[in-house]
Amino acid sequence: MGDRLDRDGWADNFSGGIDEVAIYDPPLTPARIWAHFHLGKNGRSGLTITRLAALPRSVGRPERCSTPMPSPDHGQTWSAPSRQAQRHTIPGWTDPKVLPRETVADALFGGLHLRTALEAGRKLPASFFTGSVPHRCNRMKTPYHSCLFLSSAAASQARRRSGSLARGT
Amino acid sequence: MALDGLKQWASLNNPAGLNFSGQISLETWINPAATQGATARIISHGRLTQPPMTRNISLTLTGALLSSNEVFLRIDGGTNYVVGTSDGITFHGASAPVTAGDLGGANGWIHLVGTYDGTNWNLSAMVCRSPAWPTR
Repeated sequence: MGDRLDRDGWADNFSGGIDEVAIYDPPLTPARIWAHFHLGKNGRSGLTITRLAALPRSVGRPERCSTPMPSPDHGQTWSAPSRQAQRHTIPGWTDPKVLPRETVADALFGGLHLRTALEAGRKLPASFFTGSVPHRCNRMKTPYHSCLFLSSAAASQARRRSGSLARGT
Repeated sequence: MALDGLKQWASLNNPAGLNFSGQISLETWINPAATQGATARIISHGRLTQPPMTRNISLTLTGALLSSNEVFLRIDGGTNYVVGTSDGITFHGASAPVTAGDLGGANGWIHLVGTYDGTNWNLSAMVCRSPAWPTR
Protein backbone atom coordinates (compact mmCIF):
# COMPACT_ATOMS: atom_id res chain seq x y z
CA MET A 1 0.00 0.00 0.00
CA GLY A 2 1.28 3.43 -0.87
CA ASP A 3 3.87 2.22 -3.36
CA ARG A 4 4.80 -0.56 -5.67
CA LEU A 5 6.82 -3.25 -3.99
CA ASP A 6 10.01 -2.80 -5.94
CA ARG A 7 10.41 0.80 -4.82
CA ASP A 8 12.45 1.54 -7.89
CA GLY A 9 12.83 5.22 -7.29
CA TRP A 10 10.11 6.26 -9.68
CA ALA A 11 7.42 8.58 -8.48
CA ASP A 12 5.09 5.77 -7.51
CA ASN A 13 4.44 6.75 -3.94
CA PHE A 14 1.13 7.95 -2.58
CA SER A 15 1.29 10.89 -0.23
CA GLY A 16 -1.38 11.27 2.42
CA GLY A 17 -3.61 9.13 4.56
CA ILE A 18 -4.94 5.68 3.80
CA ASP A 19 -7.55 4.02 5.97
CA GLU A 20 -9.74 0.93 6.00
CA VAL A 21 -8.26 -0.84 3.01
CA ALA A 22 -10.33 -3.83 1.98
CA ILE A 23 -10.03 -6.38 -0.79
CA TYR A 24 -12.97 -8.55 -1.79
CA ASP A 25 -13.14 -11.30 -4.35
CA PRO A 26 -16.70 -10.50 -5.39
CA PRO A 27 -17.45 -7.11 -6.94
CA LEU A 28 -19.25 -4.91 -4.44
CA THR A 29 -22.68 -3.80 -5.59
CA PRO A 30 -23.47 -0.08 -5.75
CA ALA A 31 -25.86 -0.50 -2.80
CA ARG A 32 -23.16 -2.09 -0.71
CA ILE A 33 -20.61 0.58 -1.66
CA TRP A 34 -23.14 3.20 -0.70
CA ALA A 35 -23.69 1.50 2.64
CA HIS A 36 -19.95 1.32 3.27
CA PHE A 37 -19.65 5.02 2.49
CA HIS A 38 -22.43 5.92 4.89
CA LEU A 39 -21.07 3.73 7.62
CA GLY A 40 -17.49 4.79 7.12
CA LYS A 41 -18.02 8.53 6.87
CA ASN A 42 -18.45 8.78 10.61
CA GLY A 43 -15.29 6.86 11.23
CA ARG A 44 -16.91 3.59 12.13
CA SER A 45 -14.93 0.49 11.57
CA GLY A 46 -14.97 -3.20 12.20
CA LEU A 47 -18.26 -3.68 10.42
CA THR A 48 -19.81 -6.94 9.45
CA ILE A 49 -21.64 -6.43 6.20
CA THR A 50 -24.49 -8.81 5.58
CA ARG A 51 -27.72 -9.07 3.67
CA LEU A 52 -27.22 -5.90 1.71
CA ALA A 53 -27.56 -7.46 -1.70
CA ALA A 54 -31.23 -8.19 -1.12
CA LEU A 55 -32.12 -4.75 0.14
CA PRO A 56 -33.27 -1.83 -1.97
CA ARG A 57 -30.44 0.39 -3.08
CA SER A 58 -30.01 3.67 -1.39
CA VAL A 59 -31.63 6.76 -2.77
CA GLY A 60 -31.51 10.39 -1.80
CA ARG A 61 -28.61 12.59 -0.87
CA PRO A 62 -26.61 12.19 2.29
CA GLU A 63 -27.03 15.32 4.27
CA ARG A 64 -23.39 16.30 4.49
CA CYS A 65 -21.78 14.75 1.46
CA SER A 66 -21.60 15.53 -2.18
CA THR A 67 -23.43 13.65 -4.84
CA PRO A 68 -21.40 10.55 -5.58
CA MET A 69 -19.36 10.70 -8.70
CA PRO A 70 -19.86 7.70 -10.97
CA SER A 71 -17.13 6.48 -13.21
CA PRO A 72 -17.52 8.20 -16.56
CA ASP A 73 -16.06 5.51 -18.71
CA HIS A 74 -15.03 1.92 -19.01
CA GLY A 75 -18.14 -0.10 -18.71
CA GLN A 76 -21.34 0.44 -16.88
CA THR A 77 -21.85 3.77 -15.23
CA TRP A 78 -23.49 3.56 -11.88
CA SER A 79 -26.51 5.70 -11.36
CA ALA A 80 -25.79 8.26 -8.69
CA PRO A 81 -28.36 9.17 -6.09
CA SER A 82 -30.12 12.35 -7.02
CA ARG A 83 -30.21 15.58 -5.13
CA GLN A 84 -33.90 15.70 -5.82
CA ALA A 85 -36.48 14.33 -3.48
CA GLN A 86 -36.74 10.62 -3.97
CA ARG A 87 -39.72 8.41 -3.51
CA HIS A 88 -39.13 4.85 -2.77
CA THR A 89 -41.70 2.17 -2.17
CA ILE A 90 -40.85 -0.37 0.45
CA PRO A 91 -43.12 -3.41 0.32
CA GLY A 92 -45.21 -3.73 3.45
CA TRP A 93 -45.47 -0.15 4.49
CA THR A 94 -47.16 2.99 3.29
CA ASP A 95 -45.26 5.40 1.12
CA PRO A 96 -46.65 8.84 1.89
CA LYS A 97 -45.24 10.28 -1.33
CA VAL A 98 -44.98 13.71 0.20
CA LEU A 99 -41.57 14.06 1.75
CA PRO A 100 -38.02 13.88 0.51
CA ARG A 101 -36.24 11.15 2.27
CA GLU A 102 -33.34 8.83 1.90
CA THR A 103 -33.10 5.16 2.51
CA VAL A 104 -29.86 3.61 3.56
CA ALA A 105 -29.16 -0.06 3.68
CA ASP A 106 -27.84 -0.39 7.19
CA ALA A 107 -25.10 -2.96 7.38
CA LEU A 108 -24.90 -2.77 11.14
CA PHE A 109 -28.41 -4.07 11.62
CA GLY A 110 -29.07 -5.82 8.35
CA GLY A 111 -32.02 -3.55 7.81
CA LEU A 112 -33.14 -0.54 5.91
CA HIS A 113 -32.67 2.85 7.48
CA LEU A 114 -35.09 5.51 6.35
CA ARG A 115 -34.94 9.13 7.30
CA THR A 116 -36.60 12.28 6.18
CA ALA A 117 -35.33 15.77 5.65
CA LEU A 118 -38.00 17.05 7.99
CA GLU A 119 -36.51 18.47 11.14
CA ALA A 120 -37.06 16.52 14.30
CA GLY A 121 -39.83 17.95 16.42
CA ARG A 122 -42.00 18.83 13.47
CA LYS A 123 -45.10 16.83 13.00
CA LEU A 124 -44.98 14.16 10.40
CA PRO A 125 -47.92 13.05 8.33
CA ALA A 126 -49.73 10.35 10.18
CA SER A 127 -49.11 7.95 7.38
CA PHE A 128 -45.39 8.30 7.29
CA PHE A 129 -44.24 5.66 9.68
CA THR A 130 -47.10 3.25 9.34
CA GLY A 131 -46.92 -0.23 7.98
CA SER A 132 -46.52 -3.84 8.86
CA VAL A 133 -42.76 -4.02 8.60
CA PRO A 134 -41.16 -4.11 12.05
CA HIS A 135 -39.27 -0.96 12.71
CA ARG A 136 -38.13 1.32 15.44
CA CYS A 137 -37.89 5.05 15.22
CA ASN A 138 -35.86 7.75 16.80
CA ARG A 139 -37.68 11.01 16.36
CA MET A 140 -35.99 13.20 18.93
CA LYS A 141 -32.34 12.32 19.37
CA THR A 142 -31.17 12.84 15.82
CA PRO A 143 -31.33 15.85 13.53
CA TYR A 144 -33.74 13.98 11.33
CA HIS A 145 -36.69 11.78 11.78
CA SER A 146 -35.44 8.32 11.18
CA CYS A 147 -36.64 4.78 11.37
CA LEU A 148 -34.77 1.56 11.02
CA PHE A 149 -36.69 -1.07 9.17
CA LEU A 150 -35.37 -4.47 10.01
CA SER A 151 -35.19 -7.59 7.97
CA SER A 152 -37.03 -10.56 9.48
CA ALA A 153 -33.84 -12.13 10.72
CA ALA A 154 -32.54 -8.88 12.15
CA ALA A 155 -35.90 -8.20 13.78
CA SER A 156 -35.79 -11.57 15.50
CA GLN A 157 -32.33 -10.86 16.77
CA ALA A 158 -33.39 -7.44 17.98
CA ARG A 159 -36.34 -8.95 19.85
CA ARG A 160 -34.07 -11.40 21.56
CA ARG A 161 -31.64 -8.64 22.47
CA SER A 162 -33.98 -6.04 23.77
CA GLY A 163 -37.20 -7.87 24.32
CA SER A 164 -39.08 -5.10 22.66
CA LEU A 165 -39.47 -3.81 19.18
CA ALA A 166 -41.92 -1.20 18.17
CA ARG A 167 -44.35 -2.28 15.53
CA GLY A 168 -46.38 0.07 13.41
CA THR A 169 -46.33 3.64 14.62
CA MET B 1 -1.81 5.27 8.03
CA ALA B 2 -0.01 8.44 6.96
CA LEU B 3 2.48 8.18 4.09
CA ASP B 4 4.98 10.84 3.09
CA GLY B 5 4.97 10.08 -0.64
CA LEU B 6 8.70 9.56 -0.63
CA LYS B 7 9.83 6.49 1.20
CA GLN B 8 6.89 5.23 3.18
CA TRP B 9 4.79 2.26 2.26
CA ALA B 10 3.29 -0.86 3.79
CA SER B 11 3.42 -4.45 2.63
CA LEU B 12 1.14 -7.31 3.55
CA ASN B 13 3.81 -9.83 2.51
CA ASN B 14 1.68 -11.32 -0.22
CA PRO B 15 -0.72 -13.50 1.79
CA ALA B 16 -2.17 -16.46 -0.06
CA GLY B 17 -5.70 -15.20 0.48
CA LEU B 18 -5.01 -12.20 -1.72
CA ASN B 19 -3.83 -14.27 -4.65
CA PHE B 20 -6.94 -14.96 -6.65
CA SER B 21 -8.19 -14.33 -10.15
CA GLY B 22 -11.37 -13.05 -11.66
CA GLN B 23 -13.72 -10.68 -9.88
CA ILE B 24 -12.33 -8.25 -7.35
CA SER B 25 -13.12 -5.12 -5.38
CA LEU B 26 -10.53 -2.69 -4.05
CA GLU B 27 -11.85 -0.35 -1.38
CA THR B 28 -10.25 2.30 0.80
CA TRP B 29 -10.61 5.75 2.31
CA ILE B 30 -7.90 8.22 1.39
CA ASN B 31 -6.96 11.74 2.39
CA PRO B 32 -4.42 12.62 -0.28
CA ALA B 33 -1.83 15.34 0.13
CA ALA B 34 -1.79 18.25 -2.29
CA THR B 35 1.15 16.92 -4.25
CA GLN B 36 1.21 13.46 -5.70
CA GLY B 37 3.72 11.66 -7.86
CA ALA B 38 3.09 10.83 -11.48
CA THR B 39 1.68 7.46 -10.48
CA ALA B 40 0.60 7.48 -6.86
CA ARG B 41 -0.23 3.91 -5.98
CA ILE B 42 -2.69 3.49 -3.14
CA ILE B 43 -3.10 -0.27 -3.43
CA SER B 44 -0.90 -2.38 -5.65
CA HIS B 45 -0.43 -6.09 -6.08
CA GLY B 46 2.11 -7.50 -8.51
CA ARG B 47 5.67 -6.38 -8.60
CA LEU B 48 8.15 -5.38 -11.20
CA THR B 49 10.68 -8.05 -12.09
CA GLN B 50 14.22 -7.63 -13.15
CA PRO B 51 15.82 -9.83 -15.80
CA PRO B 52 19.09 -11.54 -15.07
CA MET B 53 21.83 -9.01 -15.35
CA THR B 54 25.07 -8.06 -13.78
CA ARG B 55 25.24 -4.64 -12.30
CA ASN B 56 28.60 -3.10 -13.17
CA ILE B 57 29.98 0.09 -14.49
CA SER B 58 29.19 -0.70 -18.11
CA LEU B 59 25.48 -0.17 -18.04
CA THR B 60 23.36 -1.30 -20.92
CA LEU B 61 19.71 -0.77 -21.67
CA THR B 62 19.05 -4.49 -21.87
CA GLY B 63 18.68 -4.65 -18.15
CA ALA B 64 15.52 -2.55 -18.04
CA LEU B 65 12.91 -3.48 -15.53
CA LEU B 66 10.16 -5.71 -16.84
CA SER B 67 6.65 -5.22 -15.68
CA SER B 68 4.68 -8.20 -14.53
CA ASN B 69 0.92 -8.13 -14.16
CA GLU B 70 -0.33 -5.71 -11.59
CA VAL B 71 -3.71 -4.85 -10.15
CA PHE B 72 -3.90 -1.40 -8.66
CA LEU B 73 -5.85 1.53 -7.31
CA ARG B 74 -3.96 4.75 -7.83
CA ILE B 75 -3.94 8.44 -8.71
CA ASP B 76 -2.40 9.26 -12.08
CA GLY B 77 -0.83 12.66 -12.56
CA GLY B 78 -2.83 14.07 -9.70
CA THR B 79 -5.80 14.26 -12.04
CA ASN B 80 -7.45 10.83 -12.26
CA TYR B 81 -8.34 8.01 -9.94
CA VAL B 82 -7.58 4.80 -11.75
CA VAL B 83 -8.34 1.18 -10.96
CA GLY B 84 -7.41 -1.76 -13.11
CA THR B 85 -4.72 -4.09 -14.26
CA SER B 86 -1.71 -3.75 -16.48
CA ASP B 87 0.96 -6.04 -17.84
CA GLY B 88 3.17 -3.04 -18.38
CA ILE B 89 1.88 -2.52 -21.90
CA THR B 90 -1.87 -2.97 -21.95
CA PHE B 91 -4.16 -1.34 -19.40
CA HIS B 92 -7.63 -2.54 -18.49
CA GLY B 93 -9.59 -0.57 -15.98
CA ALA B 94 -11.66 2.46 -15.17
CA SER B 95 -10.89 6.03 -14.24
CA ALA B 96 -12.64 8.99 -12.73
CA PRO B 97 -11.41 12.56 -12.49
CA VAL B 98 -10.00 13.90 -9.27
CA THR B 99 -12.39 16.60 -8.12
CA ALA B 100 -11.08 20.01 -7.17
CA GLY B 101 -10.35 19.96 -3.47
CA ASP B 102 -9.72 16.24 -3.27
CA LEU B 103 -5.97 16.77 -3.09
CA GLY B 104 -4.83 18.69 -0.06
CA GLY B 105 -7.64 17.75 2.25
CA ALA B 106 -10.24 20.40 1.43
CA ASN B 107 -12.82 17.72 0.68
CA GLY B 108 -11.86 15.55 3.59
CA TRP B 109 -11.65 11.82 3.26
CA ILE B 110 -12.55 10.21 -0.02
CA HIS B 111 -14.16 6.80 -0.33
CA LEU B 112 -12.67 4.96 -3.30
CA VAL B 113 -13.96 1.65 -4.58
CA GLY B 114 -12.92 -0.07 -7.79
CA THR B 115 -14.59 -3.27 -8.88
CA TYR B 116 -14.20 -5.81 -11.64
CA ASP B 117 -17.22 -8.02 -12.23
CA GLY B 118 -15.54 -10.27 -14.75
CA THR B 119 -16.44 -8.03 -17.66
CA ASN B 120 -16.26 -4.38 -16.68
CA TRP B 121 -14.25 -2.26 -14.32
CA ASN B 122 -16.07 0.43 -12.35
CA LEU B 123 -14.77 3.13 -10.09
CA SER B 124 -16.66 5.02 -7.40
CA ALA B 125 -15.24 8.09 -5.68
CA MET B 126 -17.41 9.72 -3.02
CA VAL B 127 -16.36 12.69 -0.97
CA CYS B 128 -17.56 14.55 2.07
CA ARG B 129 -17.14 18.25 1.76
CA SER B 130 -18.23 19.60 5.10
CA PRO B 131 -15.43 21.14 7.15
CA ALA B 132 -17.45 20.09 10.18
CA TRP B 133 -17.16 16.47 9.20
CA PRO B 134 -15.59 14.41 11.96
CA THR B 135 -11.92 13.76 11.60
CA ARG B 136 -11.30 10.14 10.85
